[in-house]
Amino acid sequence: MHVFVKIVAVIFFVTLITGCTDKRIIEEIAFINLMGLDLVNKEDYEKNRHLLVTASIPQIDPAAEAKRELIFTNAKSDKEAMLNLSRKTNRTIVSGKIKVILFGLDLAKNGLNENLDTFERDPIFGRQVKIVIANGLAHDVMKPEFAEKPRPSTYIDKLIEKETKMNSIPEALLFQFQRDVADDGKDPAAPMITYADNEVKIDGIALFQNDKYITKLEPDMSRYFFFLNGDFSAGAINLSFEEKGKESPVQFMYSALKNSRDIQVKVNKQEEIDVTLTVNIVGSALEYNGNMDLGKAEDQLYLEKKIEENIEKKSIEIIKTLQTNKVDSLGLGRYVRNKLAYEKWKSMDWQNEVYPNINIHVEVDAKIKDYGLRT
Amino acid sequence: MKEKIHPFHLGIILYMNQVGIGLFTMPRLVAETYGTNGWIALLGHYFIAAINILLIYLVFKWSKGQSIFESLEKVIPKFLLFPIYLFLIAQWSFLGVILARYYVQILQINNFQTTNAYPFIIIILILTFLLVMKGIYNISKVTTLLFFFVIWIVFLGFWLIPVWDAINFTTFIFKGSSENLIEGSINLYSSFLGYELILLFLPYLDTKRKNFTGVFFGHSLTLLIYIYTCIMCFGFYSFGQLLETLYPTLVLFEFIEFNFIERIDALVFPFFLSNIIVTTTIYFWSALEVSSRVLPMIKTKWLLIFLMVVATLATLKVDIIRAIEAWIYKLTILEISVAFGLPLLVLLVLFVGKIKNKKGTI
Amino acid sequence: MSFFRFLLKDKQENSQRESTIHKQKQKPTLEAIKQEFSNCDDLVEQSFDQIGITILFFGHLIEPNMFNRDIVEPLTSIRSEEFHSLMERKQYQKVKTSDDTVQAILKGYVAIFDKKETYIVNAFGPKERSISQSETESIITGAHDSFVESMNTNISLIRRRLNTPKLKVKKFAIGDLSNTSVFLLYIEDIVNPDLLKELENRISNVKTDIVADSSMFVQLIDNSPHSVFPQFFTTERPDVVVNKLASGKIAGLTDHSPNAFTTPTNFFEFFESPDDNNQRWIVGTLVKWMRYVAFIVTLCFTALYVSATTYSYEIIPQTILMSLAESRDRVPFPPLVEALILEIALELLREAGVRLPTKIGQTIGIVGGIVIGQAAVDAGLVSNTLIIVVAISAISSFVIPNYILSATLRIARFMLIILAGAFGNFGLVVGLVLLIIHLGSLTNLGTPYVNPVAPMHPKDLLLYFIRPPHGMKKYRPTQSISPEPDKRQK
Repeated sequence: MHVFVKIVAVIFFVTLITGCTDKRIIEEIAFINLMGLDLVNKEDYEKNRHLLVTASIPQIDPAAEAKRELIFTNAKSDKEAMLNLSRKTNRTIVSGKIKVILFGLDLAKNGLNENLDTFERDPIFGRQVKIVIANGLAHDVMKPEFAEKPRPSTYIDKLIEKETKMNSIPEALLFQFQRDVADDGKDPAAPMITYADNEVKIDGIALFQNDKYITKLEPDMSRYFFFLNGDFSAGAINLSFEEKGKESPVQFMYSALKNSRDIQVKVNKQEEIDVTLTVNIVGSALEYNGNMDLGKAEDQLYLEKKIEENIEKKSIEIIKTLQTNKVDSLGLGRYVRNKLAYEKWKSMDWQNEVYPNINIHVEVDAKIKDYGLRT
Repeated sequence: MKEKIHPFHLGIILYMNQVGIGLFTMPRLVAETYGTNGWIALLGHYFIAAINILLIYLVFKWSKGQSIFESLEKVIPKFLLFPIYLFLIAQWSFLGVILARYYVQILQINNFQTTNAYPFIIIILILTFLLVMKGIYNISKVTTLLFFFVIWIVFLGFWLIPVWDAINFTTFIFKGSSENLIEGSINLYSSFLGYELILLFLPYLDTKRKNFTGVFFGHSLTLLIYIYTCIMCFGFYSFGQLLETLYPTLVLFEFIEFNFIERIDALVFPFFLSNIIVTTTIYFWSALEVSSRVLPMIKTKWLLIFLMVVATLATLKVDIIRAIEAWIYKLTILEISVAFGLPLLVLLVLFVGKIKNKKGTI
Repeated sequence: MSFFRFLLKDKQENSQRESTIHKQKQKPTLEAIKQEFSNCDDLVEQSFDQIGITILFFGHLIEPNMFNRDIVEPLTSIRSEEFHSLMERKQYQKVKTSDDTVQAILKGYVAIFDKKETYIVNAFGPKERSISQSETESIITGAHDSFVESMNTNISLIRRRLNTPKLKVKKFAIGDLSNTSVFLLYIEDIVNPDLLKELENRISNVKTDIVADSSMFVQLIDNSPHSVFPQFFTTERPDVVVNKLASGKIAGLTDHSPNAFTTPTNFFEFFESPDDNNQRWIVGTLVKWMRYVAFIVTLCFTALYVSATTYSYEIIPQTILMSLAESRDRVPFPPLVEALILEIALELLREAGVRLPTKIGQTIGIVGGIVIGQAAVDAGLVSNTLIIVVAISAISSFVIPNYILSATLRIARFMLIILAGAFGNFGLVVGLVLLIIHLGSLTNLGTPYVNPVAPMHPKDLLLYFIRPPHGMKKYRPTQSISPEPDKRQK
């Protein structure tokens, strides 16, 4: 047993002589919370690949007045930016706690692959980093500081988190974004935010073709996107439709939604691809100002029909947008792929040739679960 | 040593010896080598290894639990065996050290990027030394404890279920591979290696018990864990992404977050130290067993220190990941030949011995 | 060549310690005995001149009533020729050697010296502590009596609970100076005879001057004297001892010690409390699991704090990280030093509290815990998060029912903290692996210390990791049981 004592002694000795160059003591590090990458000048970018890198760091020193440090620099990559940025603060800059990465619109249009590659390579990045597209410059979204709101970084993080939970924007974590970029049957989608009228708010869904931003869906359309995108529960939708005997459109609030979606792919002999999206929605009617009596079964059936028509119309609209822009954000390619032989799938150009021309049907089945506490 | 190793512990030792760093690269290697749904090919590896284990079983049965060295030395003169012994000593000591180095290298990708690697390697070797010196019976006990020390990590996979999607598997089987098939399968086979050292365990087994049920239990447990990991990864990553990710299993852990702790890869990877400790321990123990055949008069303590120092010094220049992987590849090829060659040699010798005996009696 | 001699295997050498006890075989005479006890002023000599008898005894070792009944009254009422017939009575024994007489006097006998013969009679009965509640192992429900310093009372506490002639008691005398009685108790047929023999061997090989307590005695007979872990289970509670005896273990009692030890011991026994048996089984099981959680917390929590704040900030969630960084901001020390300072302060506080009477102990708690703790945070010497961390791990260490083990864990914690300070999470795991290697190779009486886990006995796992319903407890742990299966259930 003497050996044991000796070995403990040796380990302690080794411990003591170890040079501790890799210490990252928490009060001595500046952990970036929110990082923005922008392409300011297109010509400059093409020549020097200069990006505007903005970093928002929570201030922990109680003596400091501001709640965060906002530092920015021009650099070729986010790694070079780290070196530049660290000259601007008294603490060591680290990127292990980045929660949100904001990409400016122009950079997104140019393609994000190069930047994503560095994030993927660096082990310090978590995979739960949120990818968000700023409508405009990321720097502009990060810059304002609101007296009545929490730290901008936390604010954006929490805003995105809440809206994702409510299913009004897609979850675009770093790993999911990469997964969709690398998948040949799906294109990524990311939330978009904007700074306008002195407030930072959600501005719809950014749609990508591989890593390049193509177009966006307006916020009022994003709910319909979600009906098509997959299963979810939570969220609400406001429908308005014409009704006999009413001058203005009738408002109908359809909430506590539970959605399940099913995709059937049919390939016929002529190798024509036919995709049917079946959407089943169950929800409660909480607001309705039309003539129907919500307590009556036949009127409920009528309203359900109305809802279905409404959602189908909007869904087709969205699918048309996706098809004309050649973005497969719903990942239909993955389902088509499963129906085809490997060689067939590889030989066709899904994204550019096949996808825009296939038939996509939407079948909606809506049910009113309950209608509140009033007859 | 009067205590014999129970079949269950034998299985656990085998499992801990097989599962190591390979687990972290395996899903990508599988995808590269066999393409989509390549994890099915692991079954093939499993069966090849199982056949090899059957060979060892035959050795055990024929020699009735005798040490293979005794069987060999009965027929072949000792000076002819010395080159084989020296080769085995070198092979197993190098494997032990190289695997420790590989672990430290990957550890240093995440943490301690600029710290010298040697304190880490020395610590691993010290722990190994400590364990080897306790003898095989204690090694089996400690291994069982270490097994329970790390097995909880498996259950972390449940936190991935929300993002796990079967659609990522695709319906294609073995399509889109990008790597040389032979090289890839050899690399993958290294994750199953470790069973060949059961040969040295034979004298420590109780001939009355069903030892090889234990061995197959351990071997199947390994397969189960590998397939589980691969299924997790294939459902988590899209196929294209899996090919791009160097250590898919590690990134899997990067994704898991709890309310009170995030990025548990920083915590989980150190826990794999226990697998590495067991692997290096078993390799060094085997090297030591052979060495004490060559130099029976020297204290095992000094022999072991000598082996460790020589193996570490000889691999002094092997300190970058490219070189380590190249070494591992070469050692794997050699180890596969040992795994098949050694039992066959012993079987041959036992066969010759039997014929001689018969002649002797006639 | 001799320079390299150390490389070679040793030849085994057996050196036997020479016996220092000089046996006296001469006839006991009054003068010889008095010579032996020269300068022992507490020795009382009384003469009964009318019959020519002298008695020798230690006044503080005898019980007055017995002394009166067996010595004073008979000796004063008889005539000298009646003396020999009196000595025929069975409480009087004739002694042959001077050594026996000396031993007897030391054990509380009264030696009666006739002109030719020497007799002894037992009058032992010094003052002793009455049976009271256990301080270190107090429980809520269940029996409250605990062992005292007297061997007779202790064995009686056990015999009262086990009314079977199968309960056997073996006596040993240990200690060249103290000559302490050590008793081994076991239940015949259930006990493993090999273990019993092994234990007897070890006990008879003990060479020491005094045996002060069971906890000290077991350190003389364990396998790894350098280990920090207690290798024998010690307890103050007779009900625990009875439970262990019934499961085939051997119990040892040392005279003048309120602690009994039981063997073979495994690590998981230290997490049991008699309360578990009295609780409903689900509650008992949950409480047991809580102790294992406490074990992990007390070992790792501070070390994890040090490692996370020094190396891997990324594992801390953002909100906690912010408040942690804010509280650490004013602290001038690195986390390792900060944690060590606070841990050592806490150990000081605990040690001070143990030595002081209860009332002052409470004051120490208030002064140390609240006043110093609060002031240290205000002064920016330590961060308040660390105070919480250290306090939680200290509380967890007190959850472990066995005091000796909980002290051990506090020491092991320091090792982990230092390793975590040097190598972060890797160091923490290295420390844990080191502990596992150590625990895995410990043995108690040759049986593995981590018994039901390694070597694995699935049925025994149930005994240690849940508290099974009493109706289901049909088997006894494999570690201690007699190898003959047909005898186990008797």
